[in-house]
Amino acid sequence: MGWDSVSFLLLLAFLVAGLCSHIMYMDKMHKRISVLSNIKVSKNRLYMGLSIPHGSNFNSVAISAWILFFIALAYLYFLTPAVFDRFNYFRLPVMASSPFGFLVFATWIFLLTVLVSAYLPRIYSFYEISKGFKTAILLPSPLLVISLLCSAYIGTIYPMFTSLTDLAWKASFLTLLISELVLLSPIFIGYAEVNR
Amino acid sequence: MKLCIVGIGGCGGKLAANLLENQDTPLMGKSLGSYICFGGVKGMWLEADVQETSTQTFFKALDTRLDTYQPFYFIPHDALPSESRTSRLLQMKYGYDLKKQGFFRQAEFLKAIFEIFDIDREIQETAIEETSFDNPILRGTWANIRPYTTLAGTNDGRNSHGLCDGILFVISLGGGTGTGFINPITSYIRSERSAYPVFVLGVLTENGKDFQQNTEESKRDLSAVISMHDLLVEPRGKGIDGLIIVDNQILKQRFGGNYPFMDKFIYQSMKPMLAERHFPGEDPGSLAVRELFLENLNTPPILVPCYTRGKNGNPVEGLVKDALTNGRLFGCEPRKAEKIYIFARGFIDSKELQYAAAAQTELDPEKIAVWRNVGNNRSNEVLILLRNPYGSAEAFKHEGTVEHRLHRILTMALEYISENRDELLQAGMTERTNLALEAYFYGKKGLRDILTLALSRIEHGEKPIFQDPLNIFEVLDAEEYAEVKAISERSLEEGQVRAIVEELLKEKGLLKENHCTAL
Repeated sequence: MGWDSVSFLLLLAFLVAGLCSHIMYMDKMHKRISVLSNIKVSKNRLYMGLSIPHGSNFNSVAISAWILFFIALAYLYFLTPAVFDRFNYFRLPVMASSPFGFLVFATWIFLLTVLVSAYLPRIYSFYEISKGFKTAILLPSPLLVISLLCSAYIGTIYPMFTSLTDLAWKASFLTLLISELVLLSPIFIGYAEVNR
Repeated sequence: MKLCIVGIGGCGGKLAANLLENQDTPLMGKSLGSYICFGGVKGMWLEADVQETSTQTFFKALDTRLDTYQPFYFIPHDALPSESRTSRLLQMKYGYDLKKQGFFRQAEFLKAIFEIFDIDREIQETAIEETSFDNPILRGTWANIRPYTTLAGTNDGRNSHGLCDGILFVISLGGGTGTGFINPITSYIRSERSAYPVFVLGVLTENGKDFQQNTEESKRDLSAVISMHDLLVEPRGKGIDGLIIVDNQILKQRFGGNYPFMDKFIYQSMKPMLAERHFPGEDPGSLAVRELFLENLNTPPILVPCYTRGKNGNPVEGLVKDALTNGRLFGCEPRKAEKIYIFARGFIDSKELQYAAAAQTELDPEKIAVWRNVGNNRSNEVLILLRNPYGSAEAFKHEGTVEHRLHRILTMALEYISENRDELLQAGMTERTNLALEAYFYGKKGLRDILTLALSRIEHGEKPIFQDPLNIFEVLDAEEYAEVKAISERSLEEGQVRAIVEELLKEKGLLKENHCTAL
């Protein structure tokens, strides 16, 4: 298994870890509050009480960042056959030969993941997020644009390899990884703290 | 509990700005949607000085207000037009300039203005002709606060969700604007809903001269005392429902006079009371909190806040002890508290909190109310409000008590009254006003007498300290006028001359401490 596949699994693993952390966080919150409360608490009621709005700016930036993340992930691993020979952009000759191919590809990914991306701010509403993080969430979007551009460069020159190809791949992966960790950090931090 | 934060004056505005800071992601100063404040609160700033409003950027001008909420400022006397007949009439009859920028630390200025609007039929009728309201300043102010409250929701058919179920006025005690707005607005509120909660967060001015405003401590203390007196003597159901009092002197010592830090700290300490994410069944409505604050009382209580933040996992006893010893925002003896109200953030057991507070204060746990919210999981926080933590005879002699602090400011205020008659009875006022002010400050049962009584109550450990409501404009007939004049002038002559002579003799070494002359 090459490093490309391992890196993809790493990114997926963080996503899954984030999802599991969130589920366990909600469960742990319910348990701790039930123990400390003097009344029986239903999960739905608790979740309603725990949810707080973070603001339209934050939600918009978060949704945009997650949409860009999924597109950047698809661009890095599914644009060329380098990682997944069977499932990639070049397996769709009509799209691959179109001057708007990349855009159409991105639009497909957007349509596949928009519901997930739109739901994610709801998950954030269960966490108390500091003003510092609300500013830090501005970081992933430009990083993901860099990732997209690097992956687009690799996809454009494919099947050629230049001295920049390796550098572009690493830059694309690193910016993707950093963005993912920033976007998942409230969940990981919340999970760690509720278990103290 | 969701409070409408109304900052009044310079200090109130700065504190309100912290409380109303937008919690959303900053996007070049713009908000795509709603403005989000901590705890879902809303609010505004009342300021009389146009200059102050132009040197800040946080609060927007009223005419820029959008359909969605954003904090804005309101200049109360803007309710009257520039060439106002009401204003001219008031100046002609009483000598007060309604359109004056700022109030120059005359705590009684606003008090006098609102009393005039209350009692003078001619002023009322002129105001109605001009603005359709008998008190346009008060009406205009309330008209801008009311839309954020549940009073607007229930009466106007709007959904009351997201509206505020109580008001928190934030002011400086000893500041320039004074608290003259608060009681009249509260009366207005009471006429609409008798039990609508109104609380005040008052920051007591620090010791020493204010070099920025070039004001001596005694003058600021007089202003503070007038403010506190007016707020604390109104009977239940007419006035405010609690005065949370912070001593700026304590914060100044803690933070080295760094005022932005001090404001941030006050905001931090209020968070447990304002935060959302309540434990089930522990989301107190402001009305419930009001009822508890006022339980068995006829007048509003003094509430001393004690705050601390500890690491998640710290023992509750340590947290409570730290709050009550190192976290007091006003010097007091916690054991003297009548009741305790605890707002806690974090995974803390409410019984542990109660017993920890009871152990520290020897108070029955039944007299300790606890409300919790989940907090940020990183640290536990407690805000403990002590109700009326004073009442010992001789306690005024010991630093760090409510009695000591209030004794100091009352003494300074009385000194100022005695030594600054000309300052208090300013030239340019009409005879009617000067007469009223003389009676107010120097008359029988005037402010000087009332404060002397209050001082005596402190020294004897009596509660409450302030008991006697006092108006500036009472009806005086000719006989009363002569009597007032005689009392104030006689006292002035005797007191002042005696003091001057004693001082001169001491300087020359001709007067020993037991006041016997050396010759």
